[in-house]
Amino acid sequence: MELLTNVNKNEVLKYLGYRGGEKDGNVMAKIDEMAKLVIDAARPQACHMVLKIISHEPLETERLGGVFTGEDIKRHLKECSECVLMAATLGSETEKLLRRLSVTDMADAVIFDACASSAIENVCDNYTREIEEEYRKKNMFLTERFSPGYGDLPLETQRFVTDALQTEKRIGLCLNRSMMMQPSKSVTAIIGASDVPQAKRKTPCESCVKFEDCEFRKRGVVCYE
Amino acid sequence: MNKLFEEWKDKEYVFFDGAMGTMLQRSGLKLGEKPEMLAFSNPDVIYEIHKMYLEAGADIVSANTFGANRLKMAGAGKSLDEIIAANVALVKRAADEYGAKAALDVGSLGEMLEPNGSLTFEEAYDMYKEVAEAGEKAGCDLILIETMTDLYEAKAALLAAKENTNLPVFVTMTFEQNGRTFSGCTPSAMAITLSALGADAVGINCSLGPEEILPMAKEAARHASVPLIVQPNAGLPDPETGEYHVSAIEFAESMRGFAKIGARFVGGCCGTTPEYIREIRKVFANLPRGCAEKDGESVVCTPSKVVKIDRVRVIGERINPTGKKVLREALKTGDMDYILQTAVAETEGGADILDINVGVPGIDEKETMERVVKAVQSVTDLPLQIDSSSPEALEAGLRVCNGKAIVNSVNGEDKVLNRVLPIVKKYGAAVVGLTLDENGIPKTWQERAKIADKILNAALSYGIKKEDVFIDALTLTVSAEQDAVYETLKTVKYAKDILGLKTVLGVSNISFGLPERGAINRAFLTLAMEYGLDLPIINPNDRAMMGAVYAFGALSGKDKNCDFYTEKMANAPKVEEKSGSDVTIEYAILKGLKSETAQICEKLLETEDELDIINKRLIPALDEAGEKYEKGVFFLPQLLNAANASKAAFEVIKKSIEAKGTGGVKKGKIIMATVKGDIHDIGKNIVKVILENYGYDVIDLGRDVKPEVVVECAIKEDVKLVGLSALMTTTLKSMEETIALIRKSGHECKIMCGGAVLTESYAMEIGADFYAKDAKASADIAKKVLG
Repeated sequence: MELLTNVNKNEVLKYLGYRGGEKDGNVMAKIDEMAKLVIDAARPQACHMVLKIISHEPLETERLGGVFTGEDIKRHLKECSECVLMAATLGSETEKLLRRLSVTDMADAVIFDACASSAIENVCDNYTREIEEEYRKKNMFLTERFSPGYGDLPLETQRFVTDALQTEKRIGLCLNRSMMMQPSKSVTAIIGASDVPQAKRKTPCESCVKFEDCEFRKRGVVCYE
Repeated sequence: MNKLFEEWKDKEYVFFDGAMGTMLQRSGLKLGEKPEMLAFSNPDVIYEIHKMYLEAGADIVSANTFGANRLKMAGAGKSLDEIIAANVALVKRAADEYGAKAALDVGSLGEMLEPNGSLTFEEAYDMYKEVAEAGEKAGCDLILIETMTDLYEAKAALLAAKENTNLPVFVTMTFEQNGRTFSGCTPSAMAITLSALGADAVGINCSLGPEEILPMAKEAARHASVPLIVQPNAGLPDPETGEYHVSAIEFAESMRGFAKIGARFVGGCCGTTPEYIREIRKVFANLPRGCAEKDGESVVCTPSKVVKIDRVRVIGERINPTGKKVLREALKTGDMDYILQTAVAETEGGADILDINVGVPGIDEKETMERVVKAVQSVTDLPLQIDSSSPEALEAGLRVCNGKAIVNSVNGEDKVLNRVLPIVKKYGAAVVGLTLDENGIPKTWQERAKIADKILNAALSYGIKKEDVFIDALTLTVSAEQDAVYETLKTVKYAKDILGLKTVLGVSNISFGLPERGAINRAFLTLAMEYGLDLPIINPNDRAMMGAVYAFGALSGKDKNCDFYTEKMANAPKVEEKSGSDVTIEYAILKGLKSETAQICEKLLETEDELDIINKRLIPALDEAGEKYEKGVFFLPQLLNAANASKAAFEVIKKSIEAKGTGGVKKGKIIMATVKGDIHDIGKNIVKVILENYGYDVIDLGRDVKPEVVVECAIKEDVKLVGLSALMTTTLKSMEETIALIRKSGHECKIMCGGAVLTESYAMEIGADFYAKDAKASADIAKKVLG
């Protein structure tokens, strides 16, 4: 499977703080250039495992027990019978390039960084879609990705996920003592699998056709709330 | 030969065991449980596994100590020494019963080393030192460092084991399907670097199945000067179940390939069991051991780049402060930016190797060398030439260099040879020998040839290989010593043709004192290459000089079909056309037009005063860009482009002021640092670019900066504004500690803080004077504090 297929330009613009002003042609061309650089340099890797949910109150899974704490993850997995732990990374090559760009041109570096952020989302989307297709065959549905540090799920949960998945060995993803992922363009997430369809969040702005000249966005609000 | 190898001398092959993890999982190891702790909770399981491998025919069994290091054993409830002692005791007991050997098994630390992570090379070394010492104390026969993905970490582990124990040390790394480790290291770079550093055996473990590993092992064997180890997985894991599918018999059969390329140590990794070892022993029982193809070429490398000196290779000369005022200043103040920009420019210019010389009077050369080597190798993958007359600085540079470097230089003096060559040998470097001695530079080529002989013999006597000795015949100035030119060239020819060594020359010395130096330099370079020069030390950003190198390749026939020449010269950058410049400097800045801004600035200087341009044009234009950014009209890249453009104008103005000697335009110093534990520095770098373009003198301390470093610098440089950045909630604590330490020192200064997770109220709570929500805000604060 091709893990990295696309860098979403609208998402990049969002990361760069674009709020619908004058769109500089040079910057737009730079985004294309940097997106290509990211796609060429990235060595995306991902892995996952499935754990059965044994109890919802308190939340417990097979093999890991009750390591997922807090109300938000409980709510997230409320209707699920199993959960998927996943991890993905762009690898360290993009970090090396970013260091180099930071020396030569910060504007390039900032755009590259935004492209890499979009790229890891794309990797996660592609990887999750694959898992989702498998589940659809079993008539099951996936929730959104929920990452350690979201809501009241402690960031420290990251350690259980990376240890269980053996991410260091399998995809070259380490966690340092400050719970920072290395390489930094990496994601860990918990996804629920359920017999009933799961509500996905509203289409994010960056995939909307009105993204570029949305009046709501210019005012810093969204249309769907 | 060490004792163990003496014992094994009649054995064609020495057999390692197979996986420990696979066996432990089968006996019910729980997810997330530390396998090393089974030595206390269920020692029999471990002991039985060792025995099964011994029973199957293993000559060496590895202790259950893969994760036994300070980081991974944190919170385990036992000390590292206890954990290692308990596990080694089990493996020893089993091995002793079979007359086999016990290896201390050493895995990665679990955190990435600099520059990808925050663990320093020295910290990693200390952690491995603890492990190695505990292993030796517990009675291991050898140390096996395995499943490494980062060559730098492997080097730290190897040095720690070699320097602190008397045990043989074997090192293996794990590679992915693309033939590289996760960190980008190739099998050849691994073999070159680790065998030169004194590993007793090197090779590949884990990775993939035997068939997939074979081509990588061939590549490693070609470059390894010590015995080869191979311990593959039992094929590729099933993506669903993680199980391995190559059977013991198939596995053993495909291991034959490794015998052919001369592997001395064989065994298994993930998915292999005692059955696999038994089958390997059967297959290998009457299998003659082959021999790897070696090419014996001179090579230097970094983890991701091997540079073979099989044609003219350019050594970039620009990181050398001799005659370069800006670089000298940068080295004195510790400003890495200029040095890194130079390194990147040389890399992009086409250099093959970068010379690093930091010799400036009045600085701590050893410490500076260490810092510069680390910084440079974080932005380029070119091998380095560590250039110093101080043995301490050479050693400091070699120690932290990731890969195989060149030492520049030794000469024919005994005291230099005896002081420097042991360092060259220890760190597995190549060395440049200058053909001079205590009596100076000999006039004739014959006398210089004698010194070259002496240097070669001395190097050989220290165990340095012939292909790692390069001779520098010394370029003298033609305007002063016209007769010397051919003496140099003939020495080059002697070293190359008679001694069979590679040759080095600093080229541009030739033209001192003459007009149009480039003409002389190019002609001399071409002559020297014809006489056998392999490694010219030149400016790789000088297109004409590089053109001469490429042209020589084409003309000498080394560059087949002139492919390389065409590739390099067909897309030569065109000189930018001067624009009609009917635009104003303000417009050019807002549009981010760098070269236009510089050009217009030059014109303006004909009619306007430097400070007027800064205060009435550049800063208002930057302010306008900042306002547009604040209002959401501009977004970040546009703001940065505007800053970059105005920087181009600043450079022009700086030069003009320097030329007049009327004093600087600096408006005050600001320290910028990303706090300890945090390696995200993009936010800090953005702020830096903006502040610099308002004319502030930014001292960038980098990322992961210890509180005491910030305080020390603030006091030493008398800085009145300190900017701290942190991106993670987990590192806000460091920000607080840094602020507290600055306050405690009593140094009077203002502190501004920023970062993605920081809020204004939190910034105030931890004692900051200002909260900078973005780069624009930081410029406003600087104006308030420094004017």
